[in-house]
Amino acid sequence: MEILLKAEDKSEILRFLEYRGQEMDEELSKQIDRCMEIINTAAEPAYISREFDMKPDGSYPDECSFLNGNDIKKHLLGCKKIILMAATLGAGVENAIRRAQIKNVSDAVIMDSCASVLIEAVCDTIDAMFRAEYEQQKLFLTMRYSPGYGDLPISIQKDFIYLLDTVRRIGLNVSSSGIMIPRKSVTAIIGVSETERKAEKLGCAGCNLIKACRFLRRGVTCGR
Amino acid sequence: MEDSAGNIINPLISKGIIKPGKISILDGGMGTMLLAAGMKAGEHPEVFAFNNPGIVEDIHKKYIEAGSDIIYSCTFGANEKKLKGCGITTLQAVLSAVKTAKKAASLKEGVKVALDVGPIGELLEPLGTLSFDEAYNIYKEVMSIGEEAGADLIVVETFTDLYDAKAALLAAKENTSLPVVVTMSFESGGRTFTGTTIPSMATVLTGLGADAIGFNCSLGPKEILKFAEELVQWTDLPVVIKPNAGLPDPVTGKYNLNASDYASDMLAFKKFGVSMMGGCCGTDPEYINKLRLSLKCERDARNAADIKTAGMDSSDSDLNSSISINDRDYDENILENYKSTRKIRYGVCSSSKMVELNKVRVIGERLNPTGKPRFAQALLEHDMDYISRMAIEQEESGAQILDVNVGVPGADEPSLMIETVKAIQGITSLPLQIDSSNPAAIEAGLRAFNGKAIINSVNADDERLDLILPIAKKYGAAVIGLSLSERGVPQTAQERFDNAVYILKKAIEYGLKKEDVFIDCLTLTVSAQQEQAVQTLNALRKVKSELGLHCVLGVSNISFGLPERSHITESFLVQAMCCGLDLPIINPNVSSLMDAVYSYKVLSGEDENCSDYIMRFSANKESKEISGDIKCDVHADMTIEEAVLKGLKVQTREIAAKLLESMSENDLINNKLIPALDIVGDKYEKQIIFLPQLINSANAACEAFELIKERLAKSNTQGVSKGKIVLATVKGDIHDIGKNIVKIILENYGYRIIDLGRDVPIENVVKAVIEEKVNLVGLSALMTTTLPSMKETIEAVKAVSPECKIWVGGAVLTPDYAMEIGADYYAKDARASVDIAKLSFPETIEDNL
Repeated sequence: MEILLKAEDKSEILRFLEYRGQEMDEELSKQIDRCMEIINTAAEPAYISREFDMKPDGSYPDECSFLNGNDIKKHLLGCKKIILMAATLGAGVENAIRRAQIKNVSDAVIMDSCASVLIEAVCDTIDAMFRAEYEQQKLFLTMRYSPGYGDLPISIQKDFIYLLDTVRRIGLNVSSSGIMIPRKSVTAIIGVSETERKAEKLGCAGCNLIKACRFLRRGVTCGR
Repeated sequence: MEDSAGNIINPLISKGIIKPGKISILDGGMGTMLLAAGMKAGEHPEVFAFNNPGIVEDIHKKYIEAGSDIIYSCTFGANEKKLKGCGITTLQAVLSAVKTAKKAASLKEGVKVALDVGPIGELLEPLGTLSFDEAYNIYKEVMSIGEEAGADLIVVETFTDLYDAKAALLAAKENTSLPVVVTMSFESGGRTFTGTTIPSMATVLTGLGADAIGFNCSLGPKEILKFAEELVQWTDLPVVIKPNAGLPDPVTGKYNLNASDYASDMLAFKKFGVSMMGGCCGTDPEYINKLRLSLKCERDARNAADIKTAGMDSSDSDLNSSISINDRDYDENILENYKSTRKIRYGVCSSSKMVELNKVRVIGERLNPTGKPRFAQALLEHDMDYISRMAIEQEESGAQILDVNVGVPGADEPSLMIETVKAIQGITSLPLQIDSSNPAAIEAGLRAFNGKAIINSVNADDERLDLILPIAKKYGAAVIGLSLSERGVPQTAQERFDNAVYILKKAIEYGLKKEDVFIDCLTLTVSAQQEQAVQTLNALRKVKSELGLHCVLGVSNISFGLPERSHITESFLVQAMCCGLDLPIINPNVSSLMDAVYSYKVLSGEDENCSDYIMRFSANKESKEISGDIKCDVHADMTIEEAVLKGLKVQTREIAAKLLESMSENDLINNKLIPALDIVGDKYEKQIIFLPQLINSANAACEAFELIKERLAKSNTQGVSKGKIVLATVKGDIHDIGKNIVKIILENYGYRIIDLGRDVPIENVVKAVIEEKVNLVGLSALMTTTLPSMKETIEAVKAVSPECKIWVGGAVLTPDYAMEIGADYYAKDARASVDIAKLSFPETIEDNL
């Protein structure tokens, strides 16, 4: 997949850096450009997805029995199928950020934000691709829902990546404490429905980080 | 076992598992067969196999009927980590699966059972959190049981991390007597997901004593063909190819090659002398049957042609005893092909970078405490960031191999070597040269290094040779032989040459290859022994022309004691390269030396089309711009405060140097740097500047601190410290940027940080608190899943040191939660951490707490 950070992504990167319109000199702006470039070079985005049929009674397919909690159930209400997807920027980004932490921590912080924006862009691209595909069959998709949102626990990550065989297919692993490695990776569930879904936004209320959100602390939101 | 010519016979051959000149047929996919036989998606194959041995036995039998000579036991995921919570142990899974495979194998004489060992499923350090030793122990268990259960060989397969494969291979070699085959999975770009390259894989696994290597899974036969072509240039081992049935459809997951196409694609591998062929994902017994038939067909066709042209007689009943000739593909032409097409290339490497030894390569000498008090101090304080920065600096200056010496008095050299090697390989991909007089430290370094290293060094003294050469052989390392002996440094070129010959002879006796022996003809100081410079050059010429060995030389010693040393060093370097020096050990940060190397390579023809030279000098200007330093004009009247505020590293250092002419280190810190940082902190607090600007200022201040540390280390004065603080990202968590920001800012306030890193076991935090008598600990966690381990760490520290204060930070923490888990303070950001430190150490500067 060839998806790169573009100049217009810079404002999003700045938002991740908790930027609030402070005066920014040219050197810093160049530093951010340089970090974007490094991430673009280091990233090797890859993804994998699999579609499953929901059971006629609306319960999860056997393979996905690890899905639990009320929020994902609500999210997938009325869906005929579900798509499980996983995407990663690859180990190169991880290595580049690790090296930057030794050389220049501020580069590392900026690169980390760049990578966060890039993996979102990768997911959005995949998402849009799916949406266009399913629309042709008059099917509609819910928004992406990831382990860690609402009451869907992060601990299902292991079963999730096992089911998609991500280790072998895209090099995405999960550590024993449930952290995805490479870290700039996303797993998500998308519902497929025969009726159009009204625009949904997770919003802060549905987020399990609400009490400790670094964005909210500085008076902004992450935008979900 | 040796053949009549005294060559060691590959154990796969001596144990009758493969036959010279014959392609052994492996089995095909297991997973798809199990699914078809009723295994549920998401179910563990090993658990299914344990509960349904009959089904698995049937699958094995189908493969044997189809033509498999070697079948893989259903143990790919049979390890402690993968079986956790599955209800069966590794012992049960392996014993049962090998037994099942052996039962099936008894169907036909000669069929062998391979213990199939897949990766653990968790990434190793530095990318992941699993340690090399943990991985080793997990594999050790599987392999010991596998041998006990009667497997004929071990197959380590589908690995994507060379370090992981090294752990598995060492576990097999050190704990069993079975032959070991290692196959890895590569992506279409010719690298694995973790960045391992084919030359590195071939070189490292061959060096570590694998008995056959190759590829499995990854892609289809067509895509893997070019990998095989590359592989055979880097190894003389038998090659194994076990690809998928083509490429999977992204939606259905179905593979795109049918059995016939697959089988005919596989024939292309014969020209590379491949010894074992089979299938992986998407293949089934039909594929294996077609593979056998197409190999046989092709063979028959060529036999017919050979007979017509009165060619050679190709049957050889000795080697084909138990199985009828009509049933076999048999071809000793392969042996000939295999020998003639294989040109063995050679080099030293990390897992992701091969440094081929076919031209001058620079070895960086800076990672060495001799004469560098600041470096020695960093080693004693386990300041791996400082050491890593030295490594990066040398790499950026053009070093291609890094010498690593951690010999400081008072340190545990083997464990310090492991720590240093791991730190360096986490941030650079350069191959390493393990430099020590301590054999245990050398072995520790070679074991920890993910690549093929060089040992520095041995000499012609038998005692040293007998100690070090077996270690070099075991880990597949190259070795530097100093051309001196227990009798001292020879004064003539001839004597040095004689010592080189002796070292080479001993190395060959210990099983090393000739190209793994590098000779150092010894640089002596020209101002003290002027006649010796010529002897060194003469010895070099002789070793190069008569022995054809690679030559290393520590060059800079030549000019010791003379004014303007660089002229002598540079001139000697050039003359030595002309005489055959191809591995100069130099300080790559001295650009005149690197310029000399680049120039030499143009004149010797090594730098084709002068492209490296042109790159170096035409790109000079540009590379300075992108080096990461923020450049800006220094006004003569710029203050250090301004420089720090603007995040100007070079200027901050320069101004600090000037200020230190008239000011003590303590005054500079207390009256200049800290007030400047306080202003920066305030501006951050008030959101006048944002995070990257805060850190840029901290980085700039760091430069002044580094200067202070260098001066104090040099004058052997104890360092300034306002107090010792332990920092750690808790066990299970690998997010460490936040912790590193806190670290750099606290360091700038004069605190000494004991940085334990990320994913830190609780006992390490406790140990540091006790041993270093620390009263303030900062813990970081970014994931909800790792908060319990933060709580446990706090409890453990408080249990041994109730007076020790602990503060916590990280995205998922709140002030309330911090109190709930027993922390004394909560810091919302790095700035808040400074306030906590000030609170905990209210006094002004004390000397070296």
